[in-house]
Amino acid sequence: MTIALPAVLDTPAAAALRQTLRDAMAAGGPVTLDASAVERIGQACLQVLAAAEAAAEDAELDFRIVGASPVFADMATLAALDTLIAA
Amino acid sequence: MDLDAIQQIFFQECEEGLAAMEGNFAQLRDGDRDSETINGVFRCVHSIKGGAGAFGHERLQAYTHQYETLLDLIRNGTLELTPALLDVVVGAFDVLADHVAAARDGDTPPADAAMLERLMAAAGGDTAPAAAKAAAPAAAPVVAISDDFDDLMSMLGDVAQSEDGADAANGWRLRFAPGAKAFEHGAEPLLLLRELTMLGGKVTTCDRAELPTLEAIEPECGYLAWDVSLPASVAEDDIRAVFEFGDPSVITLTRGDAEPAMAEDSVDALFDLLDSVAAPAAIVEEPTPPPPAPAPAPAPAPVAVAEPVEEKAAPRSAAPSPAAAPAAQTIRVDLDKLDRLVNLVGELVITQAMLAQRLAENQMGGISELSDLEHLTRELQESTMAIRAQPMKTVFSRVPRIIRELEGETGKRVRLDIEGEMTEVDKTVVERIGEPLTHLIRNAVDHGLEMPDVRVANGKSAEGVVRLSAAHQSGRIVITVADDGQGINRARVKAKAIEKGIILPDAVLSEEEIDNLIFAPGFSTAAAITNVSGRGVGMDVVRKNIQALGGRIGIQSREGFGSSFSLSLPLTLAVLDGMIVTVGDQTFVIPLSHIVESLRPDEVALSRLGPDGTLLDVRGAYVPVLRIADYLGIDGAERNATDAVLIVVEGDHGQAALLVDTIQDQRQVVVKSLEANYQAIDGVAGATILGDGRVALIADVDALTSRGGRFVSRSALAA
Repeated sequence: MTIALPAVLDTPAAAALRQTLRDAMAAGGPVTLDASAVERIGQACLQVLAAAEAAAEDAELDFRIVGASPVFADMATLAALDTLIAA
Repeated sequence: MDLDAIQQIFFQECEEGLAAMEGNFAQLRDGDRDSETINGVFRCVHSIKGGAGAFGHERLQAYTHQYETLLDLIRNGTLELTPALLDVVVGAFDVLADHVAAARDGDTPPADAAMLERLMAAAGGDTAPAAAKAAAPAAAPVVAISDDFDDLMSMLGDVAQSEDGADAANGWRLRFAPGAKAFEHGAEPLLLLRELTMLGGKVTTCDRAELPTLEAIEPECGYLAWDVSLPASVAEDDIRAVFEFGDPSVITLTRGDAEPAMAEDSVDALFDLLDSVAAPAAIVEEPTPPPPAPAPAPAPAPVAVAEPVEEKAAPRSAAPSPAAAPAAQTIRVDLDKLDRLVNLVGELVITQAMLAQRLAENQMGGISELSDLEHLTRELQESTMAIRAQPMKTVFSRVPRIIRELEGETGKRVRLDIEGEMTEVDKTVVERIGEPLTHLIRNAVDHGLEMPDVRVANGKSAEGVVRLSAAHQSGRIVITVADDGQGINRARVKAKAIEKGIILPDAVLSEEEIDNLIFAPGFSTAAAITNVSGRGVGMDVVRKNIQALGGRIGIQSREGFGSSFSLSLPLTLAVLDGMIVTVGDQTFVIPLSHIVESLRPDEVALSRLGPDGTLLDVRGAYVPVLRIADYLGIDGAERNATDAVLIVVEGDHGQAALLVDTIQDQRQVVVKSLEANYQAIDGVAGATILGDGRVALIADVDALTSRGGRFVSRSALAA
């Protein structure tokens, strides 16, 4: 399942992102997130993504973030969460 | 306090900082090259940079960084502050002001590319050759000779990285754990991380230990923490300043203590190199996209860049006044609270007056407690008003920029003289005087001053002078805008007024009356409408704005020698000393500041003039007698001057004698605005509540005497 991440992933967007990721995990298939449209992202959403990455690992699901936009890649690197974009 | 409110404070401090910088520039231009002055400018820019980073205004931050770099070179003596360099610094200041305004209003940042280039050229262009020369001897084995500062910096980076252990071990270690409340009030911890990297920091690890499972995670709670390493060369204050606007407990800052044992020789060589180049710290922290090389620069650490955060009760003031060492402690107060206080004190004054009246009615008016109370009330009122007082400096500090822009637009050369900028006046006045003042200054430069060649031909200096002054004069503040230009061309003004149908072709007008024609709506004498001024919508609006503040505007002009516009404004709009008089069944207050004397005239002192005009002989000078009752339509008032009291007042248009029935009292009254509560009435300046609870109107002496003035000139013509 490929999910396109929205442009704005600020703190208020974190709850919806968490729900989306939970639903995707519950569906059981590999999860691919398209981060090409992300223009803004903060800690709240990054930590939800990190939690999802950990959850996928536990559930042995394939979890990938693809096409990271410059902002996404920049912020993930800044927060030393490069594992999110390493795959 | 949420992030918006903190940001609001930041922008207020930016304003203060910019104003302080403008003051510093004036000192620099006057030849005062005191290191504290340039330090003052540096500190302001540095503070703005810090705040810009904290609130994510990246363009502003990037711009201030470049600006700061140049200023740092100047303050540490690497660059000499030549007039040309000062021009760059001042020019950059204008762009900075635009940047701040854009960041505050959420507008597009100004185009700063050209200015950034000038800043870089000024900073790099002048230092590079010196750097190369100085670098040559020390650069022997490790670093090749280079005449390019950028290359030098990148080489520094390479070398420093190869010695990674040394500086990292000796540098700062920062633990940043924003905790569960990381996003409170809209905060974004990543912006602070970003700022740390701008300082040369490197985020080494992200601690996810607290991060719960996806099921358990609370989206609005923070769980991450970071370890950041920063070069030893970064000042502790600079690191702490990043967290200035937040909770200081989220960081733990420690200094690595390992000896920089490895490859000491090559590091020493670098130190020598840097010493000889005297590269300032600001260049070393250049924000290259990958974390910059943690160069252990022994260059002069930023001196007095930031005061220790812990010591401050209030957020850091961005405007340390030049050489003002012991800064007065201040707090910021919400203006609403202040206004409530002012209002309450006003009510207290009224209540005190009522109490005095009641006690007097019961023959207890003389008790000493009452006079104590009156004394205290008045002192309390003055103190309250003083809280609202602000120096005119906040307005005047914007003027140099206006002048600079006008010079650019008109090609004229202007010297600005400012006097009395510390004169204090009520905040409302300060806030609302800016626009009219700007207009007057634009007029002075655009219409008043001549082009340099014309001035020289007329035997004047090529540089025109605009003088701006503020002073207290008998309970009012007088602000003057004067120029030494061509003065008002009265023949042209009159011709224009006739052409516009403002006056009749055969009107006989005094010079003063002609000057005042420029305040007529729709009047403009500019031969060509310019961008600067002269759309003919100016001076009438200026006068209206001044009048709305309870002020008057006067002109003095001498053809060929210049014009002077003086604005006379009340210090506070809230209280005035007045004489309480009776006219018919009404009670009026006549402001004491206008009263010259009061008298009950003899028949011989009165002369009739025309059908219903009367003149009062005041020791040889004739002043018109004005019946307030006639002007304001009051019935039952005394008509016979010999049975009434005449109060001689001085207004904008000369003296006049106001005819009233009796004088009741003289006391301080609290002004209540008629405009705010009802509507403006010509001849009435406001209202007040008297001790007995009745409302009394405050006479607008200027409006009344201006009618008298017209009456006299008409009569004089008839005679």
